[in-house]
Amino acid sequence: MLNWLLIKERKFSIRIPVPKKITTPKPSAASISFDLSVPANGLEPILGAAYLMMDRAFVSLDGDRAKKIAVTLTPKAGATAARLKELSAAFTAELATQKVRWAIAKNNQPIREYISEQAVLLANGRIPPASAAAPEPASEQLNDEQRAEIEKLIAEVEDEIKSMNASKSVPDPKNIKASWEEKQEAKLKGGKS
Amino acid sequence: MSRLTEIDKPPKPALKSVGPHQFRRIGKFVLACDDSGRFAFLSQAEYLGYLKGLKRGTALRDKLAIAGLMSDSFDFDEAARFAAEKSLLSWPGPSTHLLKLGAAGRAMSLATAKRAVDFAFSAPARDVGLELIPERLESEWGLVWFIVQYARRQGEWRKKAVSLTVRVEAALPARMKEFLDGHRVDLRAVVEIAGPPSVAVPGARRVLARVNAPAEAASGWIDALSEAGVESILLEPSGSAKDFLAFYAAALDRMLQLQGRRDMREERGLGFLSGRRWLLPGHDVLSELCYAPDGSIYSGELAASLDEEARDLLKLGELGSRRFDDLAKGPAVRAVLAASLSENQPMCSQCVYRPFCAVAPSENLRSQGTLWGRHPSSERCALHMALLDILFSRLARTESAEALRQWLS
Repeated sequence: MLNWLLIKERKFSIRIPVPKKITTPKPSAASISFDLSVPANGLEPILGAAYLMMDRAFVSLDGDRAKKIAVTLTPKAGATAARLKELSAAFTAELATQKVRWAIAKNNQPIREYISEQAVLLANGRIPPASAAAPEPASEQLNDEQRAEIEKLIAEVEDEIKSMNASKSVPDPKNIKASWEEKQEAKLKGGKS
Repeated sequence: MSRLTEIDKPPKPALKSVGPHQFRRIGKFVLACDDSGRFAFLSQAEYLGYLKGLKRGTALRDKLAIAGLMSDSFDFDEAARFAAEKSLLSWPGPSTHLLKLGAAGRAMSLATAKRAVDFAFSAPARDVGLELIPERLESEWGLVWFIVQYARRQGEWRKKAVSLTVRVEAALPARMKEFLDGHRVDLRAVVEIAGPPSVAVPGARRVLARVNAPAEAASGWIDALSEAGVESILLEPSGSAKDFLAFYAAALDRMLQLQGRRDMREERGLGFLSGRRWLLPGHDVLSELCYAPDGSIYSGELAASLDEEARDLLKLGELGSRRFDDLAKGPAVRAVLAASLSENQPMCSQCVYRPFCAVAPSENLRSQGTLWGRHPSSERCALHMALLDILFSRLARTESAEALRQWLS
């Protein structure tokens, strides 16, 4: 139904249809409403909490998305006073958790974007995977002499590692043999204590 | 409590150190998981401590750093590698091609069967999995005979590994069993788990079980099936969800107890834990395609069984007029993939199980009337969440974690 405005001109009158003012449904005994500050709570947490209530309630949101949002919860089953109170508490608890989820998500967005970028490049072969070593010649391309040379080299490296491990057991009170990283770590530990 | 669970009086997170993750309360502990499926179990006090900020040098901090949950000790290369391996960037194509050999008394023609096999081999996956679903095996036996032999030859020519399965509901005549055994074709027996345990299809290594039994019956059924040589079982609910979940938990515990003696894996659980959504049974396009007797290509088995209007929505084309690469050009495939990406869904994007789970769009269409679905009120989503709670609660226990990890190896 439309309200009509009667406009009287000098010689004739014109009726112009004007839509009735659109109002949101008023809270009733079957629903519970409250206002939330958007700057204090964040728009996404409010919307997130509202979305997650969908299995239990119809959620109506109204207001200014930059300032204040009025939330109306209408339970899908059993609109008793106790149920309404329970729904309101559930929304509040969910809102608090949503704030944590969104804070973590927004803060880590650059990390996620970087990982996604790198994952796409990896999947497309534009960057080699971390475990990729330089390609080795297929074993059937090595002749006996080359295979013997490699075995000799491996034996030499194993001897070297054995002797390094043996020498580490010698006391080193002044920490002369420590690497730069080990020395830095020792300094930090010494500084904290 | 919401389906995603909440924390009581959550602290303001220490944003300098808390890495990208989602969390969930499961019983007494909190599961924290990153975007790619790396996770850690914490007590509730530990999780609150993590949110408030952990001192360097603590064991908990080291544990969380290894799991990729500390943003100030972050291995970007490993995170990117995980993301590439587990996400759809690594999707090799559908793992199973289902051929419905007959429907409403009408059988597939030999020409259509050949086209279906050719189409399956044109997919980019290294391996080809074909599952034949006869309506009346005796009259469709010729088709089975042809498809098995043609698929094996195609596998040799194209140097692809082929796994063949025939779905049956009763024991086979000896000649059929002999032929299938000789060609290394698995049998998938369809079983109704409702009364006392029984094995209707001797020799079946795979089972599709529709469960309408209490939890107390689970051990007996698992024992009977494992003694009969069943190695892989897909449990589907047939009665109430609550009873099914209780049965599932009991069946899973029994399978894990038997691990090492008689190995049996539950297919949906394995798909979840793999973190690769294309291994989830029944997922449109990602894990399966279905070919109807008339040569229509559907996004999955469920899609092919919906009512006409819904079925038309998920019909991707006709065999003989489409190549696999053409599928992506069609709007149905793109809509299905968009709906499958849980990163896009408002609730899924905040769910700790996002890296492991997806609800098939055909299931959304069947139960809620849209491909996209409304996950907060989706029964399938609730079921998946509950199944994952069961699986992860077993992962949190030392005695069952190792057995579950062996499923993945």
